Amino acid sequence: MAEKKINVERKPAAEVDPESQTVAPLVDVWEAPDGAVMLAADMPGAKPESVDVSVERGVLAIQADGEIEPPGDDYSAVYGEFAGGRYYRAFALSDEVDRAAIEATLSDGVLTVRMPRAKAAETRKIEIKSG
Amino acid sequence: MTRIRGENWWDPFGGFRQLQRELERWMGLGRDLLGEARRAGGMGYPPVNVYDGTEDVVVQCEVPGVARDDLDVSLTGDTLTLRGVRRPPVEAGSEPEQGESEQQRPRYEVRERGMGEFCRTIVLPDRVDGERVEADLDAGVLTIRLPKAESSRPHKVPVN
Repeated sequence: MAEKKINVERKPAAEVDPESQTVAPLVDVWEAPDGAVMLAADMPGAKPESVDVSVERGVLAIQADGEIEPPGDDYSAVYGEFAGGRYYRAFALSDEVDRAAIEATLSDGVLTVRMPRAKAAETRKIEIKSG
Repeated sequence: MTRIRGENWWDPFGGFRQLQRELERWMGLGRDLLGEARRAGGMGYPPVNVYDGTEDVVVQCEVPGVARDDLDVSLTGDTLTLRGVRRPPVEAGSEPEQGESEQQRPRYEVRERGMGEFCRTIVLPDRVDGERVEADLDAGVLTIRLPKAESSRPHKVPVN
């Protein structure tokens, strides 16, 4: 399936009703070969228009609606092991991440967030001058 | 459930809530579906919902991140088999070749998403017509529609 680019907004995350039930999506976080921090979150049933990725004050928040509907009213559920819901999870960002360069894509119900490292955070070799 | 043990109490420990959810998923607690799940094939991966209608049986499966080509659905009698592979999120070009050192593999900080091959068999609640099965993958949810066999559909019996 085609990857869909998600707009990453630099604003407070959309408010979450504290009374509402949210589901924390399962995630993987790893370091890409170029040093970028990568995050993948399982959000089955999430459509691109419901995904909200925001960065504010060093917090990355990801949200989406998992739309999993029964096929119709005249069906009876024989086995039920999963249901849709509101996905929500937030992460503290390292200072090393370049906030302005964060990118997100949605593909096959998986949200992938790419967080490049800021130039200043790359390892620099410091020469020692003999004096 | 008392107030203090409600969802709010758990909120500072999002991870625990997740764990609880996973445990519930595995053990069928909180849902009176364990017996059904055993019949379905034992609460394996992927999780499924099975709906029984008058015209067809609908099976939904949660398979986020699984490519269409990595899914294999087959039907034998009234047993549906789902096979597939969920591949780890490795960036293009960074797939470790044989002989490459461990350091060239992606370094995981958090690894919660299970990966690898899966196979699950589901006993359907009714006989279906295997020739007209349709499977559709959208947003990580696989929906399989299995029209019921002619002999399983309700037939009106005329009363003379």
